[in-house]
Amino acid sequence: MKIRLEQDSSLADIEVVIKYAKPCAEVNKLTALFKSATTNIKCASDGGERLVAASDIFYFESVDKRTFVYMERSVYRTDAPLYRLCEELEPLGFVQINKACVLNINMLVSIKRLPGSRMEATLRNGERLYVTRRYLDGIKRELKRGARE
Amino acid sequence: MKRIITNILATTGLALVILAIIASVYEAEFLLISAIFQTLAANTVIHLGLLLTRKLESKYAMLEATVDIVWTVFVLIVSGAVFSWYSSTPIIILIVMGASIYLIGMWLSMVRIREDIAEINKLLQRRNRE
Repeated sequence: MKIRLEQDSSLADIEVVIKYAKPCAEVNKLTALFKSATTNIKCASDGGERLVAASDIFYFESVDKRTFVYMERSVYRTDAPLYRLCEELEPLGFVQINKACVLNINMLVSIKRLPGSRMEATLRNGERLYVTRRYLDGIKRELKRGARE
Repeated sequence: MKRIITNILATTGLALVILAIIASVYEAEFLLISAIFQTLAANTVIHLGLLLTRKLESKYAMLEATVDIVWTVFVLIVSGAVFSWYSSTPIIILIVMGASIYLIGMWLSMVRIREDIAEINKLLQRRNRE
């Protein structure tokens, strides 16, 4: 894959053009990556507000009706409810893994089974989250979609 | 929807086979057709209830399993009273049957989970390699 950067002072915004011979998984992966890099979530941070790129988010967790945004090493709060984030970010590879958690599938390294039909997901930063069987099909579907596209 | 219908029919079939085995031990010779429909009705109620108990998600698998078993046994006891099963089947046999079917279902579910996890990890490996 060739990457060419062009400076054009007449442009008001960054423009990304992906050229390909035929649609393939790589093209879709790149498209999703650009979309998630340009999709921002408004978060509360130290009394102020900041925009966080969806591609940098590891997962969202809902605790006592509050939604927290987990990055690699930091945590923010957002006013958006978990179900809405799940709906909006689903095309970017976010999937629900238990009733209180929506995970960015791109941050998932592996899943292992724990005793008693419980499962544990390991993320790129080494963090571990529990997964319930109810959402296993959704994870599989998302990964298959990524592989097929 | 398809899965719940499959599950209802599977556990109804399993219940009838176990019932036939137990009945054979007691030297019974036939099974009433009404018993088949009653078993189907009880299984339908159990599975509809299990759809609700699945919403009570917990970190503790044992808690979920206990809620499921309590619901299953409760439906069996009530069904026994409604359909007059106790005249031919002792309550303890009914409970043992219910628990056995639940445990077989759990085992099948664990096998499926193991297969799903293996497939997910394979897809993740392929994805991370690309």
